[in-house]
Amino acid sequence: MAIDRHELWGNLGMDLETHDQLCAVLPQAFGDVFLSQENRPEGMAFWDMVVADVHGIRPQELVDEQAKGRKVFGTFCTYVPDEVVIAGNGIVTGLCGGSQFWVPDGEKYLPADMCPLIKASLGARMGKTCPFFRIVDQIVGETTCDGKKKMYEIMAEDVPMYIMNLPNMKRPQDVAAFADEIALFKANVEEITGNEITAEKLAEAIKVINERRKALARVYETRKNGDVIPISGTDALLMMQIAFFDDPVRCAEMANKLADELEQRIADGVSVFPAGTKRILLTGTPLAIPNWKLHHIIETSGAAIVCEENCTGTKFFTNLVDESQDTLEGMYQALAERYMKINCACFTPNKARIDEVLQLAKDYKVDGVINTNLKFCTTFKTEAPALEKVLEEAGIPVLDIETDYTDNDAEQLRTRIGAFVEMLSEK
Amino acid sequence: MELSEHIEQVKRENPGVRVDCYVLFESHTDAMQLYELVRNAGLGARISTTPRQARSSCGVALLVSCDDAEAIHAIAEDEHVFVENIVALPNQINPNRDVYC
Repeated sequence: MAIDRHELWGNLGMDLETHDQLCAVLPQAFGDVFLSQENRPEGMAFWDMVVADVHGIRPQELVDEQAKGRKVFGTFCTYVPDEVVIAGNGIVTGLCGGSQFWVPDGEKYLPADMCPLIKASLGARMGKTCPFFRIVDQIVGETTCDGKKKMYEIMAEDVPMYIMNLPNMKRPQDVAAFADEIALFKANVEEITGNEITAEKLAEAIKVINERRKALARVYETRKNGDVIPISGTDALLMMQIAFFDDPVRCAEMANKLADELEQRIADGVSVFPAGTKRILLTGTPLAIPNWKLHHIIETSGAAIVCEENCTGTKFFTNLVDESQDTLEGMYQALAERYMKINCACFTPNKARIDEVLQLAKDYKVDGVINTNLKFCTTFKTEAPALEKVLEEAGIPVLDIETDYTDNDAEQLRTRIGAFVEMLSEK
Repeated sequence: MELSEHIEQVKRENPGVRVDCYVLFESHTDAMQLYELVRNAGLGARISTTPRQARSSCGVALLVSCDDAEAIHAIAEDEHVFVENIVALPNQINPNRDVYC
């Protein structure tokens, strides 16, 4: 008999009957999206394995580590500094939030006109259908958007929550304020784990997370090649989505292994798309696992995604933390400086994102940009016209898409994306 | 039923449809071990989720050509990798289905 995960899930207090409905649909979606691709890199085997048993393998590892006394911190966002948790010998894990499956349970508590990521996150916790949400000793939120802030208040009634106050401007005093916030978080991690965080431990953790950033960036670097596309955007997205959940050292090892293969593919001229395939940069709201809809539709409509400028893309690994600091205070400031460089739409002003997208479009030699917005994400939606105006002025065609986790706009998306790709081909 | 007989039966029941074989395991470590062995032997294999039609519980499987299924089973036996079952199924993959999780 196969390892029965039901004992694990039952011990976590999960709703087994409802969760089985999710288990039933994952294999079909995985097959349609990933196994339909030709000539995928061998290095994807690891990431495929993780997702094939996504609620089994990693959750079991986390439970095993908890049995040894380690604490697990769940996070939603790229602004929470993993380094602090690692320095306290804690474990960071991403949380569920990328499926329509969890949305109805979220809507029991939240208005329907709220972004699906927020509704799905709360639904996954309250509906008891995500092992990661059940395992965590504490969830770490951050003040990135109003919807999440109010959702945290509801979630805090069900699970220990710690909220980091992320400033919404990027003046020097805001960076200093976030450095103070990181110091407070350090005290929280020490309290939860019972472990003192020394300068030596934090310095080591900064190196660990920097190594993960470098490895993921290596994979992305291969996607800049204008002649060979060595990996599909859908596969690169899967790597990024799993990076939020996996052990950071192993993640770096596997990403480096994948990058080795992709670099060799470039040397050998091995591409997963025919020559002339239109290159797309996807920007906008995050794509939490298992949200593969847009990538799959774009890449089965005659185009290839060569870069994701979002939290499940470049925002996760761009910019390293300065490793030269040797005091805790110096490291808090270095961490704050790195994290405050992430250009989220929650900041005002956020012109740096526009500049970054423009630069990435050039670096990745794209033919067009697709700017995607999860329904009801007001901040990204509001800055879309300014972004699109600059891209159009630079001669880069752009398509604006608003969608959610449901399947019922797939045909409309195929029509719009197909027309966009066709237009790119006529340029 | 012998593996070859099972594959032929599924092919007969699904005329005109490609039939794939899924190797099922008790654990993902067995799956990854056999994946490496099969690839090193020059045979094709892909990491897959376990199709619902093959088993009611999820887990890691190998998607292989049914033409290689006997050879892969032999590799598993020779290398003492425990295989729970090898199941032939009519094509489960449809990139145009647009049904997501």
